[in-house]
Amino acid sequence: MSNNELDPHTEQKLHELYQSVEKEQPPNDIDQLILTTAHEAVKIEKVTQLTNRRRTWYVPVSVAAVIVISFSVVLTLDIEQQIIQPESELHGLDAVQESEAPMMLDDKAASSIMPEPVERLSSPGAGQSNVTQALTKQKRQMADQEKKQAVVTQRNQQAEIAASPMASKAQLPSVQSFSSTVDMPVEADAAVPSMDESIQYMQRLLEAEQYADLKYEMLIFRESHPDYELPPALRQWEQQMSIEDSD
Amino acid sequence: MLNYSNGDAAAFDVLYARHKGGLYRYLLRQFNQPSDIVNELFQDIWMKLIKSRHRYQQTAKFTTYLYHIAHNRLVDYWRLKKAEPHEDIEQLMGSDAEQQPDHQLLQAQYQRVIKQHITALPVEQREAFLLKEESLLSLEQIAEVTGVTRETVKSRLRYAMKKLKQSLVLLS
Repeated sequence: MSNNELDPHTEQKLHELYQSVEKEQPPNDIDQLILTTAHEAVKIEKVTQLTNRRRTWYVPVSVAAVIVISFSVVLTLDIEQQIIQPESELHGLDAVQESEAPMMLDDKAASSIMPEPVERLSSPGAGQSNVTQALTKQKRQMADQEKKQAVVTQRNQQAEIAASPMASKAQLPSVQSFSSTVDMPVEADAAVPSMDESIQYMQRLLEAEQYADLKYEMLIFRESHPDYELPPALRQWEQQMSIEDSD
Repeated sequence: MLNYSNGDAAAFDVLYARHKGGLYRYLLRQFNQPSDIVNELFQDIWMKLIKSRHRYQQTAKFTTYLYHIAHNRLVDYWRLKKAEPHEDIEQLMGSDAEQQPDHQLLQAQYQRVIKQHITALPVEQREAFLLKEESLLSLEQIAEVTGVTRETVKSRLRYAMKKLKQSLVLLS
């Protein structure tokens, strides 16, 4: 054994001697101070974690809300675009149909001009410029449709009159001048309407103040019945017309 | 310690109860007698442990971690003071040598002498001895705490034991 090394016996003896020395302990006030500090640190940490958790709650919810709103806005715009596109396509198809076969346009076609999207677009949530534009466009198209309907009705009546046997004896007036809305009694089998029917038709024209048509009908009637005595109202109107013609 | 760092305050109570005595005596033996400095250092070490609880990783034994903090705090203290409490061993021995050898009295004298001679040891040897006796750390763990090799720790311990043995021989 070298000089620097201790025998295990001495080492053990020193150990036992040291372990037999009084075991001092820290003062109680320091114990309490350290323990209180340790407990407080944990409490503060928990409160901080709760606060941080509350703060961090806002961020993901805000991001989610922004995403949802953006998605719904984009979806709404896309749906509006899809509504407007088929309508314009239908409008173009109507124009083609009108030029090729004007008589084909009926009430079904007119009613197919999207009443439902108009209601949807006029909902309170869709208060955007695109919606307003779409509504204006639809109103304009509906007005155009009504005009077209009126023209088609007028043409139908004109065609009916042209097909009547009385029209074959004289030239038909133009579409613009002929605007009578009084139905001409046409019998399918009869080639020439009876005298009573002609008189009734003229009376209706007089009541409707469609004097140009009445004058035309009167001329046709007098060709076939020159001496027939008309009802008082028609007679009075005929005399008034003959005076104006002579003037 | 992991439980405490995860928010279990009761875990700290267990840790403190287990280690407070050893750490207190480790600090106390660095000085000749109980003083405010010991209490201050003791308190500082535990406060530092509480603050750095989230940095604790279970790569080493908790005792090693705790005494590493204590060692660093002591080094800082000595560096700040720029002097070590170094009393002359012979002077300390002289004061005890005049006592009459009764068995119990002799035992008490041995205890007092060894405490005084521990305080009189060079700081490195004293620290190595106290870490071995108070925290029951192995040579490798003492080397880890003090930042030296195992052989250095072994050498320091050897010198410390030799000096303490000499003091006891002189007393007897």
